[in-house]
Amino acid sequence: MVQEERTIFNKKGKKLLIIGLDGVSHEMLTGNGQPSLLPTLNKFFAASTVKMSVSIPEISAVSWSSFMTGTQAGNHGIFGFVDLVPGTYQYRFPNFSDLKATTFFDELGLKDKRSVIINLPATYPARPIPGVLISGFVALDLEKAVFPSSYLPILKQMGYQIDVDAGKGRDKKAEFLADLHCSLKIRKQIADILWEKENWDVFMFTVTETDRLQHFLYDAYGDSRHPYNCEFNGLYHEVDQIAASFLQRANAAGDIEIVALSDHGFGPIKSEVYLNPILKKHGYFSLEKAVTRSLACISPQARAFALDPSRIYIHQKDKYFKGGVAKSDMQKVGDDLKQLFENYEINGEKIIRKVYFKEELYNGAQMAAAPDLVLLSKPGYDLKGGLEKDQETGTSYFTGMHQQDNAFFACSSGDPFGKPLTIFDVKSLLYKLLAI
Amino acid sequence: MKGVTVWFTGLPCSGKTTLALKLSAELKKRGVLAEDLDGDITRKYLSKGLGFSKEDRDENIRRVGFVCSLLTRHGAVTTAAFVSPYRSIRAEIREMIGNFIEVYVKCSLDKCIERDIKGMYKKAISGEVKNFTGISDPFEEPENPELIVETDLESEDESLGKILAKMEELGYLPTAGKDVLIPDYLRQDLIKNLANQNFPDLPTFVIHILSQFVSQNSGQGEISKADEDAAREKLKKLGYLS
Repeated sequence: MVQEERTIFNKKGKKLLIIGLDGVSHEMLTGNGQPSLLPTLNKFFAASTVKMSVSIPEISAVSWSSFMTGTQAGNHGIFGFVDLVPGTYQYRFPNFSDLKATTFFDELGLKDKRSVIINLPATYPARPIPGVLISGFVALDLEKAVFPSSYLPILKQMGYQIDVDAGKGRDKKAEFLADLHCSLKIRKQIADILWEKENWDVFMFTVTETDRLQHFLYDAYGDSRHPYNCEFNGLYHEVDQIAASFLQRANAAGDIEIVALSDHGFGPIKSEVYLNPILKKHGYFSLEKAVTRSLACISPQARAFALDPSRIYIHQKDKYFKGGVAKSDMQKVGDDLKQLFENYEINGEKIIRKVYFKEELYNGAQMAAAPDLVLLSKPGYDLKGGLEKDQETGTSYFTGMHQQDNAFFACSSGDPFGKPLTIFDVKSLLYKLLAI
Repeated sequence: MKGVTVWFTGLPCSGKTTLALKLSAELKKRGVLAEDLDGDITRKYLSKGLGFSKEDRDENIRRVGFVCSLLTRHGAVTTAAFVSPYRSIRAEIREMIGNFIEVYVKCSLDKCIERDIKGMYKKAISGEVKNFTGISDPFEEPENPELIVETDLESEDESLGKILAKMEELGYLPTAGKDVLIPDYLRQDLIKNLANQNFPDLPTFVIHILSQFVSQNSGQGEISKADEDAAREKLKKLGYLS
């Protein structure tokens, strides 16, 4: 019997369930020869799971913004968790209202399709959307994280937590793990209510507990001797059970396509690498007052500085009020910085995979806010701005770090891709699944 | 948007022109390119010299139908209020125009006579005016119009609502309350801005502007200094901010 070709391009309009798994790598889902951490999900998607590369830098705020808008930061304007107020050295925290491109759920609203979006990072503060929105990380105040606000009382009543206190991950691991289970459980209960109560076309449930777990306990992954190995697997087991419950419901309904994806992969940390100290050592960066570790104290002689996690800005004249690099020297400084980082070594190993000029990563109306260069490290080297650090490298209580090229995407309609998949492609795939 | 001719047919004084003008005004308010044609205008400029015999009446309607077909082809919504008592000519212009909504403005003869401030019915009844539809000339009721409005039973606004709903149903008007028509001068300005904004299309750009507006005005979009400090702490705890 000839098996019917499975492709998403010939489907009629359907409902869509999206399971977002923050920080879950392709390997964690598929097992890569070992038992999968998410056996039910892995079995369901079988051969349709593919590796996916994500935004650079590979952080949730940028990646999820790219997922929901289908474009890169040059268009959507979210380049990192923090940015500088234009013309100053003052930090600001870009939020959902800074997003300059339109989300899939807003566009679907134009086609009378309603979305329920739960715990999607980079959607705070919640604003009206065609459907329901419960903002995810970095949401701060539940009052501002829910649309419509009529759901606020029930969320409060059920003890809904936007996020756990990650500070506990450092030295109160048992409490931290209990909090992860608790927040996940309540989030799922809310999802169950919305699944039944709302008339939706797209339902998205994002698990962020996986990312939190891995920052502090990645070393427990796959290491049966690790004191928290059982707990690590236990949280994944719970995530798998939640996914199984969604799959069962979707299959029972019969007309729901299912997608699962992560916003970045994960891997172990060999070393943290602090970019401002490196710039300082090579004469690119200095502060006026050595005692005050603030970018506001940058020296007019500084030719570059770094923002977390891996963004390099040339200290350009006319763009920054203390900036001294003339426009005519920008290319030369950029080339020199590229060479510096490409050749940067730790214990004889070059640790930067690629240095990107902004034009290689971004295009669009928000280019003026883009970093001049962005670094992509080799696995194990966790790049940070490190303004407060003296040394160039170090370690901390973090054991896991994001990875750019081992996120995953999986789809109930089989593998529809003829090319390597990026997170920028997902929005259009969702539209195809919905026959739009 | 697709052009269409909304053709009002009915007895003299049944309310055709009133409804046609109301519809036209409403459409213009919504930013739709609309034009209205009625008997008084066309008899003066388009069909001067034609009388009220069946042949002349048909010729008048044929000429009006031709103008409607041109306007419709170029995307206008044309409202045409004519007694147009004969089925055959109405069928002929329906075919000529294509995008055609026939609205039968139904009203009892007594009510029409009551509304007749010019006294035409009176003159027709007395024989002073010949070939007057409803008295001395027949009105052939539409057999299958797109819509019937009964102006002696419903208010003008009710009738107008029915017509707008029918236009929406047939896809000649965006659905009221969901889509908003943008006046042309604003549209041009937005398109000019769009070129500098790098949004893929106008609807996307408009959604963005409206979303920004709504979040700013709801107060939800405001991030306080305390919020920023809290965000900084959260990010530091996860190593996203060093």
